[in-house]
Order: sequence, then structure tokens, then C-alpha cells
Amino acid sequence: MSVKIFLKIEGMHCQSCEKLIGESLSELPGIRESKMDYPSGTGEIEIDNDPGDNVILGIISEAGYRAEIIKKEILEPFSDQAATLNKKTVPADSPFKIKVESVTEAEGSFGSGEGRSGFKGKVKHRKTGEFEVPEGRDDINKAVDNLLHSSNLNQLFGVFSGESRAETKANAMSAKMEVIDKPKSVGHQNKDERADFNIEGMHCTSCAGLIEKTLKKVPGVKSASVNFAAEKAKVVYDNSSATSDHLIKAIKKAGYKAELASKNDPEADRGRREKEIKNYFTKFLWSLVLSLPMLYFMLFDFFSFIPGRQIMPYIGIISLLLTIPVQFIIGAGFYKGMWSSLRMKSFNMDSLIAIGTSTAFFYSLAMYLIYATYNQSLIGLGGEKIQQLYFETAAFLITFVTLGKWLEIKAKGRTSDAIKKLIGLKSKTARVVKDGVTKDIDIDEVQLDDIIVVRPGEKIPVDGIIIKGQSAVDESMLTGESIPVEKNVGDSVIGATINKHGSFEFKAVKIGSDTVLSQIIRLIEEAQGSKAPIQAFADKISSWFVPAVLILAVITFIAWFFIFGASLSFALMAFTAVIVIACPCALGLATPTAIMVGTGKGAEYGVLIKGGEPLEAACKVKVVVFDKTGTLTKGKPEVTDVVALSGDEENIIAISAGLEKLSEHPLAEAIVRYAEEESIGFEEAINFKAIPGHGVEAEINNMKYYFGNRKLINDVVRLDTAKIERRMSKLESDGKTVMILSSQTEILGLLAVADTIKESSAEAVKELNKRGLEVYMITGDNRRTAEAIAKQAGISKVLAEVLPEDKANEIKKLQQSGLKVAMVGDGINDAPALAQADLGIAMGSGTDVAMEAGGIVIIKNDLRDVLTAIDLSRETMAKIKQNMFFALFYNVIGIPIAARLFAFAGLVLKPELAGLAMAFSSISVVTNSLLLRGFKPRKKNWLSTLAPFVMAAIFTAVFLLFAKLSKME
Amino acid sequence: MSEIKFRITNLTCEACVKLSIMALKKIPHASNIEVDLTSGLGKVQSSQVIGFCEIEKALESVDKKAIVLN
Repeated sequence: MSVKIFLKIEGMHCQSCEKLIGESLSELPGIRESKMDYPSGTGEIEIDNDPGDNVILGIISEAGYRAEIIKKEILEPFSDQAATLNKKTVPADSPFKIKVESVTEAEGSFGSGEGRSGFKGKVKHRKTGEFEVPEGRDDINKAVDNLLHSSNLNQLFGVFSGESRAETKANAMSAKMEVIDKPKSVGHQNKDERADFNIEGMHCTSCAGLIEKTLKKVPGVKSASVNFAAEKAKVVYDNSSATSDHLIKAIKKAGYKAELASKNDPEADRGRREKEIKNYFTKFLWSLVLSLPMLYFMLFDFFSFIPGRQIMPYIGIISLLLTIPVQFIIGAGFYKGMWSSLRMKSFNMDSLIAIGTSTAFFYSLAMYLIYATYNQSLIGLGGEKIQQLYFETAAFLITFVTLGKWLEIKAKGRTSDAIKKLIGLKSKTARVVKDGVTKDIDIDEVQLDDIIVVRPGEKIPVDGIIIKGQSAVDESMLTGESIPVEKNVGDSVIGATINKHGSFEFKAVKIGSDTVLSQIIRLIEEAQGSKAPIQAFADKISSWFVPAVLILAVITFIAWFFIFGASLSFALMAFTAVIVIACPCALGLATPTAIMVGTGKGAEYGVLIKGGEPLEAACKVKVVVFDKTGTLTKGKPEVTDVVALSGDEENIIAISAGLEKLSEHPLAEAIVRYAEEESIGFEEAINFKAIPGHGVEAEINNMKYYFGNRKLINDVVRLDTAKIERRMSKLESDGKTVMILSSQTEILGLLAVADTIKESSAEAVKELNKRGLEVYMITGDNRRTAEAIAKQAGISKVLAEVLPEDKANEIKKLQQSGLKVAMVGDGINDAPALAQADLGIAMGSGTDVAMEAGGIVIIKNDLRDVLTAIDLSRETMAKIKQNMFFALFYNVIGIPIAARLFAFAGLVLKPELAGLAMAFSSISVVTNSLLLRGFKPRKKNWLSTLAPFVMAAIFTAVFLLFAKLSKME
Repeated sequence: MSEIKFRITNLTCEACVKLSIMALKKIPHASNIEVDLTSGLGKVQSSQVIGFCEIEKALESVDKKAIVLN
């Protein structure tokens, strides 16, 4: 039986006191509800089994308050309540409604017992819930269903208890409430959040994989992608169950340093990297200085004429002393790396280096100590050096790996130069006019609609629209177009472009991260951080490579030592060499470096590649489909033909322009512009009248003129069009719109207007055909117009009269024939097709939607950049494949040699030389990627094409040389 | 052993302090919790690094607001 207890409490000052008491009481078994009210000094408790007054009062006094019980009420078990729930579907346009009613009825007597008065009897609760769900709103419907199914009634009503409480007070016996327009209270409020982190301390892709794994284990994390080359992690997580702090902690636990990437701080980024590069260089230098004497000692074995042989007996002790700092101070990072990966129950590259060098070091140390104790001498006896010491192996290995890392990190720094360049373009301040005062303010403080003044030679701070003045603006940093663009009032200007001459005022339209430049930077960053599908292959290899190598190394050792009875030192050196040569560091660099350079290069030429996926898609494309309007054509009608039937052409143009100047028809603009371009002066008309669906009429120099279509001439002017019919239909068959100029008595001339093809279109199509690509044109226009334009562009395959919503379907049809299709478009109506295609290429002049849907964005409006994109991606993918070859080639060839499988043929590889060879493979991968920097649109990058072969030859030679050197021992 | 310092901005009486400490105690690995009523300064030591978000969340559950100090 449950009881309601009313209390009087002394000593409460604030809400904390209420909570504190509630908190203390919550430990009582069977407590259902406790409510304290500090202003009135009262409290109420509902509890299933009355534990006795002393228990309750005791708890409260322990919390620091004095209380006494005023009265008790006996309640019926809560589960007695009745509840009904209803869900109704209402018309789609009505709001989502929730109505919950709660009625409490009590029946009984007011009596007193045990000296206190109280209510005794039966209490009934009745609750109803009604949900009105708008038709077609499946999301709401689902949320309501979830709520009804997942929650029991208590919880369901608990959802609304916040609102109902106030009502309950006003009317204690029955409470009514209605929640209107609050779909949120049942919907999911969780939001996915994106966070970017800078990560320090990664040595190879295994580390990246490790961090990814760790991040994905954090509850709430939806996806995590770690880019080794960029040292960045991108995480999407549910912000209701994880925070960026959690993620950073998780990364830290895995043994790496992480911090939230602040996008506005390229300086700090650069500083950090420079520090890291310097750090590695110092390490390398020290390591080299300490190792060099040992190299000299090694030469004693090969050449007898080398002076200083008297030092021979001391070689052992000197090498030991020189190696200790290398192994344990400079090489400490490898131990740390191994430790952190061991904690995650995996092995990484560091583990390999640490195990390899430790084997060499401790084996040598043991040999040295045995020698020293056995002979009672710290130096070699009889003027000879102590045999079987391999301290130099450990020292050289660490030196070479450190050298490799230094080179690698330097290369990594250079690949992201493209972004740094872009960020550097941003201006720092803006000159804003506020309340009549002009003031320089920080660019971050600029607000929307601020009026900004730009002087000649200055950078335009944010995106906006010119409201006063005019100028020419150099937009080359965004479009690559070096000729300044004329800007007048009403034209838009883009942040980071440079104002040439003339000053103007403009209104800020896009600021902060919304500006075009910021968007581009974000796109490139995302692209460079993304992974190409081919990367999955590399990741997979490196994830099982390390354990496999360890097993192989152990097998090598066992085989040599136990089966073939080789000496311990021989077997151990083979073991160490296998471990070292197998490190697939280069494999981890293969994809990211090429993508970084490739996308960076693309950005330089106004081709934004949004990541590895479009890049890979672009090189496989076999069919290119162009949208017509705005893509192949200028998307802006132009006057193409002028036919004078009476008087000269100039006169026709002048009169037409004069009439159309006042018209708002889209074609009118083309005519007026044409007159201006041709510098034909025209007078403005008076008594202007537009006749919708026909044309216009107006007076110039007291002459009445008509300008419009056939209908205007036939119906309004009532002249016969028969004699111009032949010319008109000829023009019309070319896809042109023809307009007629007439006076009241005769037809004066014809003007044809058409959407003209871009100058670059035909060339782009030709080049694409040359590369063996099929080119299609897709348009909603009628077949005749479409074919006319297609012919000009040199396209033979035309998909005409395609409804906007069917564009994606047409693409699908092409794809079904098994071809990879690229779609090039600019409009909102192209977006589905862009998304459907294997590769979407959006024109930068197009709509934001199209740019969002496309995998590649072409900033300039030049179709030849489609070619640039395809060429660049083909070259980048080729680089990736070459890189993978380089990375795996050394490992695969190197392992058997290192395992001394070919020892009989004189091919062995000493561990330190294996270390150098491995460093070479990293260097060759990075160098190979960097050669992409020589990419120029429509030019063969010979250096980049030939280099892989040259490098492969050189490195094979070096490899064999190493094997030979190793043998000499 | 790490330590995090913060300031609770809406303490009114000892109950608030007690409540805050109760809430902070629930953070895993938290030990040596101190909260001063007059200054609002709070300190939590822990064997593992605790993020400020955890402190914030714990205090939020008792309607207390905190700002981070170090």
C-alpha cells in the first residue's frame, strides 16, 4: 500500500536544499516521488511502503534539516489506473497535435487517525492520450509509434509532466493539458556532429587504423576516418552520447595526442609542423653523429689500409656507449609506439623497429658481457676487436628510419601547400561603414549587410554585392582567369579577390565560413582528408601485414637456427632484417600523398575534386553526358542574326533595342546588350506598351513600331507574314528564337536570338572524343533545337526532350549498359542526374545544389576543365598504383632476401641496409607523388611519366648493391 | 594523478555545496573533491584525466553551472 506523506521542513534556503533532501530520500526503497518546496518550507513524499516516521525524519536530519510529519494519506496502488491511447490521422496540412488528459478521482472520507487528520479512501487515476498525426508525415508517425510501444504509460505521461505540473497545482483533482505543435517532445533531439582533430604521434597507417578502431568504439561515434598523411581525424558522432572531449580522451588512451582542429589557425598548424620537422632533423643528426664512428669501424673489415687500427680492441665498448643513447633516447619513440599499440592488442610499424633494433642491441650486449666476464676484460684481447657485436646494426637502423621519417614529414608538409595558399588569401580586416563612420574592423566581426568600402589595390574581404561605384576585379585566385572582370553596381564580388582600380562600396552577403573561399577550402580539406576506395586495399594489407611479418621473422629464425643449424648471430640478423624490410610504411603513404597533391593541383587550376572517390571514378569514366543550357551553352541568349528587310541592319538594331530597353522580357536584355556591344546608339521609346504573349509596341521619333512574334504581326498589326516565313523557319530550325520588327505599314526586319554555345565547348568535346570517351548531350529542348546545338559542339549523341525529372533516369539507362558515366551540369534540375552518375561534375557558376551534388566542381566556366579533371584523375590514379607497386615491391622482394633465402646465391641483406632500403621505398613513394606537381592541363607531364621507371631501375640497382655489401661480411 | 579546477557560479548555501559534491562524486575515478561556498571554486582530483564536459554534465544534473579554470 502506498502512502503520501506531507512534511514541514525547516532550514531550506534554496532549490539546492530541495534537491538535496530529494536526493537523500531517493535512497529509500519504494520511494515514488518526493517534492520539496523551499519558500513554504513544506514537502511531500509518495512511497510504496511507509518505512516509519523516524526513518524519514532521520534521513532528512542527516541531510542537515529539521522536519516533522504533518499528515499522511493512503493511496491506492498506482497500477490501478486506467489509460487509453488513440492515434488519429488528420489531413496533411494540419498541425501535429498531442492531447493528454489526466483525471484523478478520490472517493472516501476525511477522517483522523493516530492524532493526525487525512483522507482515507479510494483514489482513481484515469489518463487518456490522443495523437493527431498529419497525413504523410511518416517521421512523426514513427516517433509516436515508438513512444507508444517503447514506453510504458508512466513514462509516456512523464514526457509531458513538465507541462502538466503547473496545471495540477491550479486544479488538484483533475488536470488537463494540451500540447500543440510540439513534435520535438517526441522526436529525436540527438544531432550528429562533425569534428576534426589534429593528431600527433602517428608513425604509419597502422597507427591511423588503430585510432580509427579506437574512435569507433566510443559510444555514439557514427563514423571515423583518420588520414595519416594529413594527420587529421574526422569524426561524426551523436552529440547526445559523446563529446569531443571523450574522443580526444579515447585517442590519448591509444597513445596519440589529439586536439580539435581550429580551421582559422593555419599559423599554428604550420608552426607545429615546422617544429616537428626540426625535431626529427635534430634526432637524425644526433643519431648520425653517434653512428658515424661505427661506420668507420665497419670499414676495417673491408679495407686493410684504413688508418687507426690500433683502436680495434676498443670498438666493442665504444660502440656500446655510442649506441645506448641512440637506442634509448632517439629510439624512445619506437618503444612508445610499440607500447601504445600493444595496449590496443595490435602491432604497428614501431613495434617492428623496436623489436628489430632491440634484438640486435640486446644480443650484442649479451655477447659483450659474456666476453667481458669470461676474459675479465672490457676490451678485446690480443689487439683484436670483440667478435659478434652488432651495435651498429641497431644504431644505423634507427638513424635511417629517423631519416626516412624526417623526409616523409617534410614531404607531407609540402603536399598541403595548396590549402595554405588559399587560407593565406583571406584578408584580415575589412573597412566597414557604420553610422556614417568608416572603420577598419577584424574580418571575423563583419556582419551580414554591413557596408564595406574597398579601395584600389585592396583585397575584397568577404562576398557581397556592389551598391556604389565600379571597378575591375582580379578573380584569378578563384577562377584562374587572369583578365580582371568589370564590376558594376549590382554585380557580386567574392572575398579574397583583388580590386584593381576604382573604389566601390558593397554589402556583405556571405561572411565567415559561408564565403566562397571558405567553402572551397573546406571542400579541398575534405577531399584531401578523404580516402579513395583503393585505399581500403592498402589499409587491409597493412592491418595483417605486421602480424604476418612477425610470424615470418620468427619462422626465419627457427628455420635458420634450429633446422639449418646456422649460428645464432646469423639467424638473429636474418630475423631482424625481415622485420625491418617488411615495414609497409610506404604503403600507407601511397594513396594519401597522391590524393593530396592531385586535389591540390586541381584546385590550382579551378577544378575542385571532392575527395578520393570522385577522383577514382573520374579515371574510369567512359561516357560523358553534358547538360545543354548553361553547360555547353552560355545559358544567356545572344543575338545571332539580324535580317534587314527595309533599311540597314544598324537601324533595325537601334529601333529594336530602343523598344526592348523598357521591356522586362528575358530576350530583351540580349538585344539591348547586343546594341551596346556593337556600339549602336539608340533612342528611348515613349508610350511603351507590352502585349503579353505577343511583344511590345512603342513610339520612337513619332513613329510607331511593333516588335514581337508572328502573332503580334498577324493579330495586332495585321500584316501578312507569308513572305518572311521561309527565312523565319530556317532560323528556327537552327534552334533560334526569331522576333519581327515592323512599323504600322510594313515589316522592317528580323532579329534572331539564341542561347549560344561556349567557345570552349567544341574543343572540349573534340578532346574528349580523342581520349576515347563517348560524349552525349542531354536537354529538355525539342529535338530540332537540341540537334542544332549538338552539331555546333560536335556531339552526335543527343538525348532531347528529356523532362528535368527524367534526367537521372537517362543516366541510369546509360549505366545499365555497363559503362561508367560522368554527368556535367549546373542547374538544380541536374542535381539528381549528377548524383546518379558515377561522377558528377558541376559548373561553379551553377547553383549551390548542383555543386553539392557533384563530385567535382569546375570553378571556371570552361568545359576544357572537364578534360583537366579527367586527365588529372587519371594521372593521380596512375600515381597511386605506381606507389602501391613501389611500396609492395620492396617488401615482397626484400623479405626473402632479408630472410636469407638466397644466401646460397650470395644475396643477403643486413638489417641496417634493410632499414635504408625501407626508407628508400618511402622516399620513392613520396617523390613519385610530388611529381604530380608538374601537372599542367592538356600537357604531358613527361617527368612524372618516366620517373617511376627510372626510380624502379635505380632502386633495384641500389638494392642489389646493398645485397652485395651485405655479403662482403 | 590529474586535477581539474573550475568555478561554480550559482552556489547559494551549504546545500548547494553538498549537492555539487554529491554529483561530482559520481564521476568515475574522481577523488578529493573540494567545493568552496564563498568563492565557488571547485577542484576534482582523479587517477585518470577527466574532461571538463564531465564536470559540467555532473553539475548540470543538480542545476549548477560551472566554468573551467585551467
